[in-house]
Amino acid sequence: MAFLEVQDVVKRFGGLVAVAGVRFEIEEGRIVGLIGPNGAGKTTLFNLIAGTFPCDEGTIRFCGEDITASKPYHVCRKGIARTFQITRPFNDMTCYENVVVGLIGRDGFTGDTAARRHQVEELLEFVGLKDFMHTEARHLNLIHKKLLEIARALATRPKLVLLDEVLGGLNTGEILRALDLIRAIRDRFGVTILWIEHVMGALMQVVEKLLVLDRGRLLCEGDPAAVVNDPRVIEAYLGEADD
Amino acid sequence: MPRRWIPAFPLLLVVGLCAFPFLAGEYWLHTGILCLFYIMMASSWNLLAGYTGQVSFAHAAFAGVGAYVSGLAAIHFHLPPLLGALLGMAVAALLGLLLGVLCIRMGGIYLSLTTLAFSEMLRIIIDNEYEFTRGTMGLSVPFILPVYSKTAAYFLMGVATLAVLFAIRAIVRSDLGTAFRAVQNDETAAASLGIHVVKVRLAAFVISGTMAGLAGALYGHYHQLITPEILSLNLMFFVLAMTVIGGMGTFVGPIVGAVFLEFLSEYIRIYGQFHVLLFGLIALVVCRFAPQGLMGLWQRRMRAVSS
Repeated sequence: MAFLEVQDVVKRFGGLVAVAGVRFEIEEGRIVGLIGPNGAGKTTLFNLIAGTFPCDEGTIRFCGEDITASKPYHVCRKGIARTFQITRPFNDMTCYENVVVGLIGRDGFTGDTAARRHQVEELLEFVGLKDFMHTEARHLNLIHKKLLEIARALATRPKLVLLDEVLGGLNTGEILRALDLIRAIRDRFGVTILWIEHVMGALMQVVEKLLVLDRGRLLCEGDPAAVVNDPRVIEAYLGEADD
Repeated sequence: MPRRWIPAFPLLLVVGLCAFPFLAGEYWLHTGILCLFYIMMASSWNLLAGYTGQVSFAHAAFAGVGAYVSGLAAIHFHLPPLLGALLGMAVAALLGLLLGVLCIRMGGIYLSLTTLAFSEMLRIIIDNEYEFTRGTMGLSVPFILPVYSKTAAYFLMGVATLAVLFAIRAIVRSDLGTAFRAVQNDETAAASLGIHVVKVRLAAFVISGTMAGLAGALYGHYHQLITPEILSLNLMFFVLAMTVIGGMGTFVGPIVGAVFLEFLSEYIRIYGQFHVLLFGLIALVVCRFAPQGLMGLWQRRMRAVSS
């Protein structure tokens, strides 16, 4: 039984086929990169896995269970959390409250217990936002918003996290810290990671497997070093070789 | 103003509110009671619109349902008004659930329009129905208490208002309140964190509808006459203006707005038709210079003082 199994998934928007029959599997405990040119269907694929959009065809199985038709909140409770490419923090709420929403989603309404306060503090400390605990999310800068989304996602105690471009817009120092954080998510929480990223150099340092999407199809997959040297991948990114 | 005075405020407020019926004349006591009704209405509408972002126009309709159910139960089954109010609340809650289920998956303007249509339909039915609800003539119902006393009615409404406000405060501070605000801020993000958005929005609908039902029932029995006026859009927009002018999404805002607008409308009544005009101008000025409402103005001032 595969951990995450995506089978021949199709998603159309009117005449546009955003995802055209993608099939892959992910093993538990891995950090897997998902790359591809703009418009390849990466974020759409995330939305299909997370249940934000319904699939037109195909099935998605998670830990042996069919989650193809599941609603987002249900997918989350099954153990898949996500961050958003364009960050979506709860702006009017503090960082503390943002994380609490994730805890409520997982545990239901338990009230503001000491155990919960401890968990929130721990998560905010883990991503480095402890100093901003009582700051409204609207006042955070981009990297802090991204970190908040990670803390919030981890609060739902996921088995799999979908990260959508966490490094975009960060400077070199911030990227290095983010990479440590992503490794720590897996090593400390035992969470499997599927990660969309355009910052290739950084991505290559962390991922153990790479999936390449192009025009809604899976172009190739496998060992990161081999994949980036694959002629098909180079062609997809740079156009056909002209010799 | 020194900060150490602030704790004395609630005490003064309680003393003032308790002394009010003995100091005020009949007319202002009546205005005070109306204020309490509007505080309940505006605060409970704020729970729905200000905390979950569902701008429903059916709030006055829920109050009307509470009033008519309670009134009819008193007439036909001789149910004491206070028990009738409970029945009115229950029916309003049920209706809130049904209307909620109907339009909960619609967002924004569609929800507003559906609730508006529902509210108008209900009003037109009651307007034109004579046998049962006595149409525009209105329904004569017994007073809220066994003995007629405006002062007693004031205290009863006061207790009900306090109960509603405490309930709202408790809900806003609870996990449900956190879920409300998460859903209002970003439904997609809330759902991605395991929040059942539909259930949360439905809960807001039912809770606020129940509170409006209570307010309406008490209001009807206080007036001893229930007319379709209670579920008119006039009343709905009055409640909306109170909440927005006071400060939507804040606890104190709707209270301040309700008291401010109710007293204001009494003061400018002498201008006859012009009082509507004045009303519009005031709303306009507040929207222009205090878009966050009077509470927003106050908070800005407090920040300026403290920094």
